[in-house]
Amino acid sequence: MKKSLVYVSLLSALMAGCSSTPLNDAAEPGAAGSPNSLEESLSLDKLRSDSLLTQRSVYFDFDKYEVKPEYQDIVNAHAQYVADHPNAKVTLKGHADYRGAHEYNLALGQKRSVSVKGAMNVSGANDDQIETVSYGEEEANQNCQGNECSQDRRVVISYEVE
Amino acid sequence: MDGYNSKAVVTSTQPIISTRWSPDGEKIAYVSFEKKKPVIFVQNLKTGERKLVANFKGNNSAPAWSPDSKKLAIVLTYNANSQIYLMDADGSNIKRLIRSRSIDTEPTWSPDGKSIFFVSDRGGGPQIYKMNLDDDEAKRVTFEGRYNVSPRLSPDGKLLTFITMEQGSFRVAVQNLISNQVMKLTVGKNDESPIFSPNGHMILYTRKLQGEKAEIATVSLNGLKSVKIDVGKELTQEPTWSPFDF
Repeated sequence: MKKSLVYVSLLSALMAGCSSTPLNDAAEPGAAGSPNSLEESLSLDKLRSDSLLTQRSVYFDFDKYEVKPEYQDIVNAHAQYVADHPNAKVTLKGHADYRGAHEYNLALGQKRSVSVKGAMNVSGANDDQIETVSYGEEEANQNCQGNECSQDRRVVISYEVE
Repeated sequence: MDGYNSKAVVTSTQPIISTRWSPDGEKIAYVSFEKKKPVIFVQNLKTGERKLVANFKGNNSAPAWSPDSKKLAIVLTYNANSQIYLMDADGSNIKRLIRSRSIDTEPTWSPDGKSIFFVSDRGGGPQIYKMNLDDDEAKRVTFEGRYNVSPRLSPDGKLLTFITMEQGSFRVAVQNLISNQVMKLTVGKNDESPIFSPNGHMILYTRKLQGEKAEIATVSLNGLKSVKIDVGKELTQEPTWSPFDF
């Protein structure tokens, strides 16, 4: 009983300590205008409704990293969006299917994300706004067969605001 | 080795890969995804204390101990392809080892500490290369097949084990580094992470059959004897051998 009382007072002390800090955080969006203007400056409506911008995955062949022609329009649309919105930040997360070595697949997923970045650079997107990372096979279906495995060979495009 | 007395050293809800035991037996290095991307930790096995030794922009992975346990070869990406770096085991004195525009990964040291074997796709597909630390020149080591990964050397440095793929099957292979003769020891089809036993007489690896969980097995160097090691009911993969003979 005594113990839980100590926890309660500790907790309130912690909360009291925190109450002054959110003020700084609240000032952050203000720097870029009100939350509404952030919405506007990043054209979030467009990002969420455009038929190309809502497509966020680029798929690859086994042990390959070249962006295939059928995904060029999606990549171009995202490159254009990033070029038009200098405060947008995008992460390209590469993946591989489960076959082969964990570390090589991590490197392959990275090469795929770098390949998508390269295609976006060509279409005018700035390197400073793009981060490339890889999860290799760590989120892959460990029992996929045949064509099913192609779902895991992808780069996923995601934006910081989301 | 009977699967008894097993004990968790690190637990995490995020994946952990590439665990490597230091040759002096005191530490492990591993890659964790707990920071939403791969970063490298070194953990002292006696004290349990762990240190984040590589958390640079992009991916941090593939730690490999030098034979004297003082250095780690690691792989970093920043915003480009995987490249090999050297650093002290506490994360200091980092320097780039090899510069290429291709994938360079899975570094492993020769037992004499004079060279690093690694995987690169500079020739089109993944193959194993060797670089002497004093001349910075990478020489290709594997030539059979289009996909050779995960190199590890025998304790005497004369044999190389790795994973080779042919017709969609991933198998454990051994190459004699003097004659360059290659022997495939297992039938696959999803074998991974081969490593020599400390006495060099057998190879420990991960095998996985379709629809089943991965398991750890050993194979003798003539490929005649393959035995599953029972480590319990949980999913197991990527074994690492303690540096001490038994």
